[in-house]
Amino acid sequence: MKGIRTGPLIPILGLAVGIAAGVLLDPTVPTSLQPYLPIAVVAALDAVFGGIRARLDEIFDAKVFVVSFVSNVIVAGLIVFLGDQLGVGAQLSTAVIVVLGIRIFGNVAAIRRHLFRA
Amino acid sequence: MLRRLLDETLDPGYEQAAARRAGAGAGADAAERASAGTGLLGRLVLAGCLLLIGGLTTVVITQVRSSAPQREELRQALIQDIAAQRAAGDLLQQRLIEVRDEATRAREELLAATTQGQNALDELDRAETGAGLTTVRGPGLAVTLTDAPAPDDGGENLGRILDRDVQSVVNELWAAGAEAVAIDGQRLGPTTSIRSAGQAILVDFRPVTNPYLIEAIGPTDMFDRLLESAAGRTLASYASAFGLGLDVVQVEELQLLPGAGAVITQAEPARLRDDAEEGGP
Repeated sequence: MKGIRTGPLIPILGLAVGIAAGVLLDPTVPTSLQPYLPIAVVAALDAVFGGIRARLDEIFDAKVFVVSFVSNVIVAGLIVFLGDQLGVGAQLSTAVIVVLGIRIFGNVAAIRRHLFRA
Repeated sequence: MLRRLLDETLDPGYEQAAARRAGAGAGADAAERASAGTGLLGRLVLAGCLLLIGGLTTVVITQVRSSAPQREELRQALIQDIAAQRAAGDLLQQRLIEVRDEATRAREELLAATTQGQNALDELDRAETGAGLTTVRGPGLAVTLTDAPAPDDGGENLGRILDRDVQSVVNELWAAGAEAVAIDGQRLGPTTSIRSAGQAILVDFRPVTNPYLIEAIGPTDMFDRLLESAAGRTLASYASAFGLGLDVVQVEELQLLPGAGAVITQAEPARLRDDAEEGGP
């Protein structure tokens, strides 16, 4: 139980530093990567909500989280890239967003049940 | 498949890892604990991932936010380009009218000397008036067509003036004996087109805007003939049904400037060609 109580501190610090770095450094993204970034962000959000839910279910595992985050982002990017090459990029982006959106909704609903018992 | 998609929102990997840990028993070693996110290394890796996620999200948000004003800038630049090109076009048109006036004056001086030339001049004058190439003055009508105000619910505005409405008014004016017609100051010639492109109405490919002012010089009974015509009655009924503006006034003295005239691409003057053939070797 000790791990769960002190655990979130370092990751949350990491998140805060990441946001601060994004705001302060204002890095420019290469134009060729720009279409994939929003999809990557949604994929990353899916991994984050999955991780939070797993933590509340007390089955959180850092390795699973890291692997799911990295593979989510890469696979989402690849699907959109492939769609662009096939001329159905917009449709495939929509498909990816819909699937990830459903998962995010489901996980947020589970988190809500954990937190409010409702 | 859809059921699985809706029910299994959590990555199955978590449960598998939990089952593995349970299988390893209570005496899990340090590496196993690290992988479960309780060790320092696990937390640092996690922090790195979250750092990446936070950075990525902010970068995308700032990107999307900054690209909106860029689009607006681009739009403004395009609008300026259009205005500049239109001004240049107006200037050229002005110059065309001046040059044509000069040519007309020179021609008149040369032709006025002989009776034959005088006859030719009279014929030319009639042709040019018909083609809308001369400035004309006289009593006439000013017809103003105005779009109905946009509906509050944001729906389609049924009272918008269409190219058809302008066309029918112009046609009725010609039929009622108009000798010269102009829309928003743009003189109509024999080959003038009145068309719509998207939301805009184009007269000879130049946009005219709401309210549309149609001026016509012609006999005094044009007023009655226009209002009693089929197009006049139709427009009047649209005016009461959809709230579009239809305003017809009689004007004592109108002055209509010459138009650009038709661009002749295929036809050539027969007389000149004969001369050229005779004059050739």
